[in-house]
Amino acid sequence: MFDKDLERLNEITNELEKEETTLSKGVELYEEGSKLAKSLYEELLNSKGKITILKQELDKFKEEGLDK
Amino acid sequence: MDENLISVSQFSNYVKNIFDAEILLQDICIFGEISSFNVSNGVAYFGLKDENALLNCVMFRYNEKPNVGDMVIVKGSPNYYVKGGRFSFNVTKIMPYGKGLLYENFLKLKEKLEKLGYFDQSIKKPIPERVKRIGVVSSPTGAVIQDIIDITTRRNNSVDIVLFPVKVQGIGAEFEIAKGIDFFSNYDGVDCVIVARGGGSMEDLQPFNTEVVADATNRCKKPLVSAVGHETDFTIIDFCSDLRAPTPSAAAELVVREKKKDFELIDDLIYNIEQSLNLKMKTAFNKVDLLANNLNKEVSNLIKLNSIKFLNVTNKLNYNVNNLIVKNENKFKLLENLLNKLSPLNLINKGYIKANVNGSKLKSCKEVDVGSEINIELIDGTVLTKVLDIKGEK
Repeated sequence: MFDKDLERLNEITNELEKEETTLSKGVELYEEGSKLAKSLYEELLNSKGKITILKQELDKFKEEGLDK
Repeated sequence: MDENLISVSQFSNYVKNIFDAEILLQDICIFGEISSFNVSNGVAYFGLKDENALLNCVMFRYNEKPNVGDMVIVKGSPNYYVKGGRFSFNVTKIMPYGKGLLYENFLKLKEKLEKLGYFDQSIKKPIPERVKRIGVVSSPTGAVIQDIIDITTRRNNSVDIVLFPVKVQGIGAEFEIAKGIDFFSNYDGVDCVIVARGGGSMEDLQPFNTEVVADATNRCKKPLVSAVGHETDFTIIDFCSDLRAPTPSAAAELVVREKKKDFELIDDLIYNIEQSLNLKMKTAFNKVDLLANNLNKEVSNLIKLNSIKFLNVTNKLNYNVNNLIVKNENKFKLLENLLNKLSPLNLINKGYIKANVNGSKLKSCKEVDVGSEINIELIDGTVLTKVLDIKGEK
């Protein structure tokens, strides 16, 4: 999903780059692209948070295991 | 008395003949300890003894000189030397006995197995990094198995030990050991095998110097660690095994990885995963950043481009409107000029006048009479006049 969205964002950027893209089409693409970028940032931040939580859980488990 | 009288020669020859004729005494092997060893004119004279007897031996051709005290086996036949009146044992071969013999057999077997490729490093199986269950072929009693259990438990209490109990010395021990190795070879429940025995004499360790144990070790499908005797003891199984441990305790230490090490390994792996993940995250962030920036840049460009287009159009519009205005202004000015040129005021300026009678332009004398009032328009006003006379056609 992340890679697919990233690819679409790339396509949108390329579309915007084209001279024949009209302003209204450009705005439409920009709207789609900015939504995608936002969702991608969200996904990355969520992943980062998830990793932090998992690491904390792992550290805790390890400490308990070593205590035993 | 006389009837039984025989000469020394007769007696000596008789005795000699008894020894020579007795087939059971020909080419026999006798073991004993060398009590003395002397060489004279290339002939060795030595004594062979045990606790209760001494045998004088003669050897005409010998290769190696044994040491006094060596236990040896001599091969030969008894002989009674008639002329000297001495009994001796004519030795044709001396072989080491006990440790010596065992060592010789050991060397022979070692050489044979080496030729068969049993010791090739290329066939050695690596000991698994992480062993969960070990198969031990050893005696069920004694310190060895206990040491292995203790060390294994201390290093990693989650590692199991499966014991195949065997005799580790004495008659038939080698077959039991080979059976144990074969059992674990085909048993999927263990990751590797330890064949262990504590220290002992060379005779005690003999089962581990047998071909049957070497064969079983060689065909064992599981990595096999040999731990027989003390550090200085080398047995055939040590050469055939995938790894030789100096002692049974060392075998357990070599096979069982410390639990702490496992934690360290996991830590390292987790660290590597984290590093890779962080790199991936950073790369992903950078990609999204780049694309988001490009998106903004491209949309700004698009707006800029369209603004320029719009500006161009409005400029053109203004220009055209101005042009139109200027064009019309010029046209107007031309017309105005023309109009000015055609204005009667111009004629008045030049001195011409404009006369009106009763609101109508006066063009002819016929339109007035004497006494008629005429309005004369001048450049700066109007003069009311009265006709006094008329000259011209009436």
